[in-house]
Amino acid sequence: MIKRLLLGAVTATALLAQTAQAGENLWVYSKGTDTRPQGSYEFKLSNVTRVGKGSGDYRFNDLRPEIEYGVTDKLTVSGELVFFDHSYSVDNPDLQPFFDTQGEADGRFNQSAFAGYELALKYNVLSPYKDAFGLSLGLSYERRDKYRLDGADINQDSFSGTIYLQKDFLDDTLITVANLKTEFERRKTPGVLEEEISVEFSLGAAYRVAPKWFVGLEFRHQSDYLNPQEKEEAGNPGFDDKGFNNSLDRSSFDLGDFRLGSQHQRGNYFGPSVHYAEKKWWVTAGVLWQVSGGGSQFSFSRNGKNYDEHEKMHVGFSYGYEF
Amino acid sequence: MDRRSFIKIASLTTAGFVLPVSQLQAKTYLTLEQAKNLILGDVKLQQERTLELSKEQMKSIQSASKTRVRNNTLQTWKTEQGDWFILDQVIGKHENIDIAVGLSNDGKVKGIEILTYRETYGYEVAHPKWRAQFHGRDHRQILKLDKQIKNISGATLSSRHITDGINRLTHTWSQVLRHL
Repeated sequence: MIKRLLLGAVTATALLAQTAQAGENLWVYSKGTDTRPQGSYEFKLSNVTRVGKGSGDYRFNDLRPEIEYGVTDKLTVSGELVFFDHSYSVDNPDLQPFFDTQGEADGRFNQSAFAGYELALKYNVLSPYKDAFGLSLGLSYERRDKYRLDGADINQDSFSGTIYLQKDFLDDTLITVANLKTEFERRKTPGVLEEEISVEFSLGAAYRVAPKWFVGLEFRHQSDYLNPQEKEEAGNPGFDDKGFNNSLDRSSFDLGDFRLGSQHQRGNYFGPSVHYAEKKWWVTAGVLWQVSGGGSQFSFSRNGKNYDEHEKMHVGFSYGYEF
Repeated sequence: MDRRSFIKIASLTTAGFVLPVSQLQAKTYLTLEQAKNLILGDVKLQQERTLELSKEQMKSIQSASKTRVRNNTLQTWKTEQGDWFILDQVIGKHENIDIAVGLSNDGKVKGIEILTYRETYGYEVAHPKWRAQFHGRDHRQILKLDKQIKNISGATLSSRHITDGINRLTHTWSQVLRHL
């Protein structure tokens, strides 16, 4: 009964909220420099499905409902909830942490769970509509209780800074953007502490093929830099007395000890997107394939692709409407 | 929450937002006749002329106004006094914005009216005070946002394209209409 009521309430809310634009997504990952008009709200629902680890089967849905609010015309704040939905069974014992989490050979991991939340702000410095190019700056904090890769319980806090650039051509019908996001993550699991610095760089181009319709292309690079501290390994061969792997440099962003560690994994993706907008709402869909990837000797990389941090394909869908 | 419930709720939420597409109408502010009366007063327009610009004229207007000329046709009406009434479109975020512009017989902007605005935000460009910034302007000066024309924060794209549109039309008068 409670489930039915919940379903009814969710659906009714969705139906009533039919009234939907600034900051709308034209791609799966890349974003433009627009901020929301002062006093306006926007609801967004986005999902990225990540598929394929090069071993067995793997599917992961990263679902995020989000509310954005324009504090001023130049400053937008947002809050989003994070839901993870994992289903996988991998064959290769070296594909970690998936193989262990699923219960080793022939095991399977299925879980749908609330995974955390993110709070963010975006400040617009230059407008692509009247300045030589658009520039916005973003800051965000994310709290996670579930690990994105395998769905296991973790304790993770991360802070990130993003630079958004946008340059329009052909009377704003051809939009190009570049985003550079640097994330500082502190992740704790029993016996392991990871301080990771990750870099995400994306490029997007979208053309208005007809009123309301944009068709685009997107490139995304993501890499991480870390040396996990495995306390149980302290003093063992290949590890120092604190449990750091001797052949990797560690990342640190403590005050007075800032360093970028060894690159552990990297992945490069490329693919198309399509965007449709009505006056009050918009929808975007896109697909990205990993075109190249790799990492350190400890990463799971095969045939020029990386599969422990990265996947074969990302399918993105997002929807937004305005209050 | 088990997998089935999770997926069911997520699907229903998504479907609820996407499927019942509401019929949203464009905001129509004025008819053509109302716009003409507001801009030029109770004057009689001559027969409509659909102006077809040659490639050379388009290039020339584009070069002089520093604004792209996307269409080679323009709906125009002349008055007995030699003033012009023009129906035009400029680019909005998703769709075009219909505008009507009146030019005096010496090429100065007599008025602008927003006929149809189809975007969620930026309708402040219809505010009389903002539009009044264009009155009396002509092709001798290329108008720019934040210089001669005040930008409307939160409606920058619409402000920019209407400003560009006026530059294009005053130069269309200078290059073509004044000779007709």
